Amino acid sequence: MTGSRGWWIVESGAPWIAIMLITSGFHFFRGAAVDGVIFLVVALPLLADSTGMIPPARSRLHLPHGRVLFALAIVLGVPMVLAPRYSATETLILSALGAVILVVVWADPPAEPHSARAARIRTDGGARNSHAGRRAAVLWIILGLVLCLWELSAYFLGRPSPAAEYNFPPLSDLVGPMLDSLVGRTLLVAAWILGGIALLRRGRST
Amino acid sequence: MIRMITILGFFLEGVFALILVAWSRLNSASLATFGSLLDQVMRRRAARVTLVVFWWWLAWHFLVVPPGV
Repeated sequence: MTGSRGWWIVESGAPWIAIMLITSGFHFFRGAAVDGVIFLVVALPLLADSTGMIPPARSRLHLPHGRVLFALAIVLGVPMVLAPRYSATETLILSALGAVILVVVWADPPAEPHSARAARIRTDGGARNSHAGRRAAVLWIILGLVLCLWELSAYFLGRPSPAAEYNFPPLSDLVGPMLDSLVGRTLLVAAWILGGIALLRRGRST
Repeated sequence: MIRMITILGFFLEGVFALILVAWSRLNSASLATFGSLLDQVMRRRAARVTLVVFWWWLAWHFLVVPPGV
């Protein structure tokens, strides 16, 4: 893959839709039907969108920042930390958040002003067309694939018995117990919210 | 012993991620930063929706779905 063609794998819709469908299939396979439905329900509109069946949508909504964003993070984070794990409250909060977030990210971000676009290209060196950008894309994709394969290997090797599961713990078994303490849960929920905010801000001119 | 190797694999993944972040910070001419990579990727709807759904699902998985389900 050379030049901007090398970006097909990260910019085309096909690999992302495939990831969603494979993930959905895997969740059905492991008996987590609700998770399977979640990924399928998102993958199907993406598939329809990739064929042009859904009209393009561009948002005029700019993400809030500063104090408003901090307040929203607190309003979201405090009940997530304090509500009992696996409770109806957690289900309600995350269901509502998921629906809102999906609407927000579905629409393309507001059009980027020419000045902001020029500044971005100066800043990131036009990562799309640079060797540095392609190298970063390849290395992060490798890292992601290795993580997925390691997690899947642990899952399948740990399936036969509790002893096998102890020897091959999936990441969920390692992270899950940290959420049982208030400190661990506060830190992980904070990291999750900050990660989400950082993710939502990417690809948008600020 | 086998358990430690499994855990070590996850740990090394994290270390490798930190190396990539540090490398790109020190020399962005040879490795674009993760942020600039995300800026490109997140402009595409399929990528944007997929990454955000995976992020959202992490909380769903750990806080809503009991183990074994």
